[in-house]
Amino acid sequence: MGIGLHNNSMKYTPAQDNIMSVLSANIKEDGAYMIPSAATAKERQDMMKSMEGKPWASVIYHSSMSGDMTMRFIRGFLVNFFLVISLIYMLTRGGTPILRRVVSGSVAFGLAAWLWTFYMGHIWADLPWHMITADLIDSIVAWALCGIWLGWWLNRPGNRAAPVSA
Amino acid sequence: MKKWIIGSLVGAIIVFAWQALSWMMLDLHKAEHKYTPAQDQIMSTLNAANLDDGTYVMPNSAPDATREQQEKVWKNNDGKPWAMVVYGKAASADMVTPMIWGFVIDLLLVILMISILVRGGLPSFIGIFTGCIAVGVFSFLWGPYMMHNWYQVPWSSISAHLYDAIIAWGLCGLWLGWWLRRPVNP
Repeated sequence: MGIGLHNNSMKYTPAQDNIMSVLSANIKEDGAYMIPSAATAKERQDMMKSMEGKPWASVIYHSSMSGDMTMRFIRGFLVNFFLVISLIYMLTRGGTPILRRVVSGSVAFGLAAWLWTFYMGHIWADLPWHMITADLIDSIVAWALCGIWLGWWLNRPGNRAAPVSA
Repeated sequence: MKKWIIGSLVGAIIVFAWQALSWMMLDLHKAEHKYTPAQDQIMSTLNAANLDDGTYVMPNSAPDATREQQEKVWKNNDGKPWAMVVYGKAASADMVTPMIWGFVIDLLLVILMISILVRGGLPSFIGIFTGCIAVGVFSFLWGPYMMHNWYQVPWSSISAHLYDAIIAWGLCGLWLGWWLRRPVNP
């Protein structure tokens, strides 16, 4: 919203009204569709070679958009809260690291999450770069900032966890 | 150093093997995408729209729209159908390059995992195992679940990614928990 890093994540096409009317007329059930595909796994396997060089699409279709953002914000915050708990849990497995190590560990955590999800999607499902670059920036910057906070907070006298003995 | 190299290599093989099992043998991801008999009509409409490769959300506001115009489009679309379309002009059936890249990324991930885990000293076996699972769950929540939350990507499309995240990193955690704590490592 503020900086607009994700403005280029999704493109615009002037043909959207025509495409939406075809989708609405033909797709009866909400969900994700791979096009072209086949009804059975065997047919899908057989058609892979014949698809080489031809157009393809992945379509996520919803019959009704919900403009309500409140629940999304609440869930988003709760997930972030849980993520930071996981991060602290991970980083302090062997005792509390120093500030610099908490920051680099936090960035490594964000980078690992991006690689495992968005970049793997780029490799295997051809998710375009313009869709995932802002997520990379988010993963590094958000977790670096969180790491700076945690590095200071966890190392305050009285907050440090004792190292794990053998 | 040798401990890290062998630990990462074997860990990457474990994670990669689980991914292959999950996608090919066990077919856990079969519900990720549905089939529609109307695919030919939809595909010909997309082709006729002269789209560039990329991801489109529709209805969307034009790139030069003001903030007010964007908000108006958003409000007008409440309760109406919408779609997110990833379109490619030419599919590639080449699996070798993605497999090589996939393994390299798995290797990098296990190196990162070890680096994160030993930040404050070498954890216990249980600490390494649960830490690995925590990273798996973290990745799932930060990626697929956030897409589910903000873009309503269907649960059927992301649930297998949760299994992959827990099982692949759980298995890797068992290996690393044993390997990194061996009394005498080469």
